Amino acid sequence: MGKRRVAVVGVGLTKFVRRAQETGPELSHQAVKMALDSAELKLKDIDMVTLGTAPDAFDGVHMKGEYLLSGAGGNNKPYIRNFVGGGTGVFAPIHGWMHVASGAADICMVVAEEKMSSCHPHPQGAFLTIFDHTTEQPLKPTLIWIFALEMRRYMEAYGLKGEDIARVAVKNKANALDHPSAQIAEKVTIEDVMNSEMLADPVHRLDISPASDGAAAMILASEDVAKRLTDKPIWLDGVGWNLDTSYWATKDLYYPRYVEKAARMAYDMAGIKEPSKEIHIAEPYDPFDYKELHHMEGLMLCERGQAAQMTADGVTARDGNLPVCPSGGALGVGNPIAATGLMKVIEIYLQLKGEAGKRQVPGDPRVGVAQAWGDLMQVGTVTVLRR
Amino acid sequence: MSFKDSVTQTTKIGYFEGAIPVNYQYTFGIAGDKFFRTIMEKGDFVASKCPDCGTMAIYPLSYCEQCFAEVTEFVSVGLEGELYSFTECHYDFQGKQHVEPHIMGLIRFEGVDGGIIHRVQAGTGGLKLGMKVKAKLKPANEREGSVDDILYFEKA
Amino acid sequence: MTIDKVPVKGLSSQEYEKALKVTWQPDLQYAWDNGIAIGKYLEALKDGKILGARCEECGRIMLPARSFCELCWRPTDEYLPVKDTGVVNTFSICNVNWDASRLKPEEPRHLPAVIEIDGASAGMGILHILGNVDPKDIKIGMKVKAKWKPEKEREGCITDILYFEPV
Repeated sequence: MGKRRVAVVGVGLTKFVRRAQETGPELSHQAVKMALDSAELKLKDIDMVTLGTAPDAFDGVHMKGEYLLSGAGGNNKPYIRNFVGGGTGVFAPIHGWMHVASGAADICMVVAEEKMSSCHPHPQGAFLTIFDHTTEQPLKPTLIWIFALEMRRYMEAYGLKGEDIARVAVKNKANALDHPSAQIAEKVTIEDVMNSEMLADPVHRLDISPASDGAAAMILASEDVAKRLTDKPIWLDGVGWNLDTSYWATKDLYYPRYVEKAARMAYDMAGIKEPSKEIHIAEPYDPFDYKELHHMEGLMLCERGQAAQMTADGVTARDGNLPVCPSGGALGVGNPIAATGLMKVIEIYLQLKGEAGKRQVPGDPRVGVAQAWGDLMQVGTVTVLRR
Repeated sequence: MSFKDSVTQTTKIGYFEGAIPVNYQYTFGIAGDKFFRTIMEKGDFVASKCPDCGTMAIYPLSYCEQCFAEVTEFVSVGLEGELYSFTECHYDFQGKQHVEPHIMGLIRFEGVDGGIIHRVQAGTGGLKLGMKVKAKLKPANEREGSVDDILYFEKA
Repeated sequence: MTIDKVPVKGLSSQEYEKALKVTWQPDLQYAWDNGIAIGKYLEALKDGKILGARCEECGRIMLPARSFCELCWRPTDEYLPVKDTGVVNTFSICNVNWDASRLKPEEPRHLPAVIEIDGASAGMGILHILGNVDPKDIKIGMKVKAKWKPEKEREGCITDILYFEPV
């Protein structure tokens, strides 16, 4: 699949914060400028721009793509906004990949932005309309219901306790202490997580990532352009995406089959046959701690039900055999929805290049996977990067 | 695929009512904050000025739309501009008729990209495209740092 | 090139209060057409029944009632009522409202659940709430039955079922 090989040649990232003074376009500009500087390119070198951003309802701006356009460097260029809920941040580079692999562009700027602080009383309220307006909204659901329902089902399926899952929050929040963009990095213990406020059983406050503002950017280039720009291109060798049924209550929530399907698509393209052995480093989406485990299994990095044990055994620590979320993930760095997903792809890029600074995992990682998830428990988006 | 049922009487279509109840607070951003604070504190308009290509912009931006350089310089342009276009509005955006129609104009400033859309007072003598207009601001102690600190534009 | 420093500082809540802002309450109201299938589903609720739809090709009985089978990509063949009993697939005990505000200590906890309805295909669940039960006693796999509003209070809405309670 695809005509040309595509490489990542530059990245940029803002701090993730609870409330930024900067407008959405200003946030985007900061990330894009950093990406251009990192690749030593100018805006005129960019052929096309794709921008991923989650619902208009967060920033409170209709046609958010067009609103962010000039801050994203899209003036007078082929520019389009893409959106697939929480999966957007990893779909944006997939969309960029399409631009370059097809030959339509040699250099494509990929941008992801979110400014959730505009939404009051709380960004969570914007999700009210994610539920069916007729058959579900009259029950006055809240976003946290679906996570609590899924988490409980996952725990029941494998006989897990809250402590087994809280371990992920402890790992990621500590990992994030070494990430310059981190919003809520801190050292916590499993007791801290279990003693934090119970929002919706079994979800505690410290099991959840925060609402955030932030932006990220990445520059993709075709093979021959990449080889001129850098002697260490990191290849975007696998892309995959898959959506599951809109009737979310009719499938068993304990396993994200749509993540597996997206992963198979990406692994096939990248020539990966045994992900648990061939993937060296992973950044699955972790808006809640149990989701990291849920997604590790969907990504086939371990057998179903084994992710919690792998975490307890230290396999997924930065110095373990398969580091997972070495960045600190959404739980530690923050969760400006679309920007988080792209931040994860950026982390894999930096790790494969050996440029992750204090977060660098030992060994010699050569193949990594980044994944995001979203909508109403529906979408899996997966990218595989290779040095 | 063709469906087996169809509705033939439109009065029989049922519907379900609901609302999206969130509200919003928008920060003005770095450049926007500067623009509205200057109106509030100094009673003046500023444009942003690009250090690389010299492009000036209203509303000011922290980045240059033309060359993407970072912009930190702001230049006073005064309250006087040119009436680039205008229209008379009779209905609000929900389709309700205004008690009194009012005029909205697009005012541009010399040497500056962009402009301000705001109310325009016709006054005696009427309005003409290209005529010089000047902003009438609220008294200093009533300004809050918002687009309503400008009451309207009128013949200069 | 390692990223050591990143732009954007963020505002504390006090700084945020002082920053210039504009507020807006959008007035977004909607009237969503029910369509044929949901129209029948709601009418059935008013009648004290839960309505499903059957596709002959895959054999599924689907909830809520649908006018077409999204897997076989063909119109459904029959609308038929299923039972109003079921099994709890998953549940939660929720302490927050839709806007993240907390329930007051004296307010009863919200008890959302996915309930697999008897008579529909395996795994066909709907979102609803549990009631008349001590949260400590709720278990996955628990058998429950719909508690309906009295007939004259029903409106043709999912809330015509007040809650599901243990059998």
